[in-house]
Amino acid sequence: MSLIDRYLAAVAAQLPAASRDDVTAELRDDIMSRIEARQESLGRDLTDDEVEAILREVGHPLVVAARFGSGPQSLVGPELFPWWMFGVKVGLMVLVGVAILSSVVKVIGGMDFGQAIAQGFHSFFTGGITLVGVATIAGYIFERQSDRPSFITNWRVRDLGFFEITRLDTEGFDRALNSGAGAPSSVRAMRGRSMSPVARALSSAVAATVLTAWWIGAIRFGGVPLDEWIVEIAGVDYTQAVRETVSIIFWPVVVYGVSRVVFDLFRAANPRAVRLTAVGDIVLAAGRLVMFGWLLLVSPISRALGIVDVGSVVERIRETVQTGIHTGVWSLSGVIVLILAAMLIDPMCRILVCVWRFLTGRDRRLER
Amino acid sequence: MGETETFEALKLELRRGSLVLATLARLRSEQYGYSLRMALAEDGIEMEESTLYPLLRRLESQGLLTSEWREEDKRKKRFYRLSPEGEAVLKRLHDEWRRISASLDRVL
Repeated sequence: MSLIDRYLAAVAAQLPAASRDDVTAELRDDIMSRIEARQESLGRDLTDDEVEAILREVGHPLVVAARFGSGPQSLVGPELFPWWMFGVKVGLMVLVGVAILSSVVKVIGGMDFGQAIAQGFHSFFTGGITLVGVATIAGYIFERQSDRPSFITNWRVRDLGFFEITRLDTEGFDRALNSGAGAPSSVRAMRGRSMSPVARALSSAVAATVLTAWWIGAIRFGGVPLDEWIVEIAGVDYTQAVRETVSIIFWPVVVYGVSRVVFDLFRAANPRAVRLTAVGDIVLAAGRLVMFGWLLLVSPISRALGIVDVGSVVERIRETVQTGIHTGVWSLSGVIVLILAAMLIDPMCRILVCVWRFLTGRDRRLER
Repeated sequence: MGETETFEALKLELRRGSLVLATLARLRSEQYGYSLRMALAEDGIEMEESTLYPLLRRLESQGLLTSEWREEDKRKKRFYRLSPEGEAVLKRLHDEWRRISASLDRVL
């Protein structure tokens, strides 16, 4: 095989089959024309080194073949890159927060301070690398779509406050959590109201992505997989109950997490589809309600806590609060029951609000 | 980045848009890839193969060029030529180029 054949074979290997022959035939003609012109000027045949020098001038086969590609020449192009960067920044901020929280909980739980900090750093770096990878895959997919998602093209000034979260100061967080920042004064007057639906959907999607990645083990907060946790509270070992619970709800939680991300992205792209998003919200809230109810009343954790029915929940809460108020000693297992019971309130309220939105077709947040 | 590198980067940016105009203008008469590259080089417009051939394919897919394979000097070559649509677009681009040039002359 001659140098030219070898060069063209390397180019051809990178090209789609449909255009391979056409492109290499044209390149071959160009290279041969170059060689003939050089031979004519020198009055002799070229050596292999001189032919190789010409091929080098044409360019590396990977670069030459890439230029003939029909798609984008980058993983994430200049239009999407700012979105990629923002998503990564917000994700990293969430990771820092979770890593700090996780380290504090471990120190309180009796872990050596240095070890907790080291595990926090480890979690942050492995999580950060996973986050960048996931964001790049998402950017790669978006970059190759014919249409940009509508939240990129149809943005509203009232949503811009959310983007100030990356200022990393109190004012930025305050504006991100309230709507209207960065807008004209007439719109800024709306500060103090809740986040707009788009900002809420995007932040929820980021949080759901991080939490789902943690649940499946792609990110480890503390370096220990979820099914290897040792949970001992106030001298009682809940490890077996927690592991059994995790193994039962593992896939339901994965399905919920992925559905949450997909739904939030849909909601961000279609903020005015009030009835459709209300249905999605009702389904997801019902899922949470069933899951929290199961955790409280049926799961291995609830058995370990001594819960058998709703009556025992009420009794345990009453007992915990009464003892806590009178003696100042709060039973940890009672507090856990209290938290699990409180977790039922949010999905119930969410279902009621969304049923109302579905029936009326109105979302008051969109009317501000 | 030094002044020379900055200048080279800006020069590259400046001439990038003019390559399409020059290529279309040169293809008012039929050319194959190598002869087109040589003709442009004689006009002072150097273009690498990896830039020229993808550009020719893009312009052809946009309907501005037509091409056909023919044998010449005992080798098969692909000849390109401006299509009627390409001629119309070239005229409009040429007018735009003159307008930009006149504006820049006033500014500079």
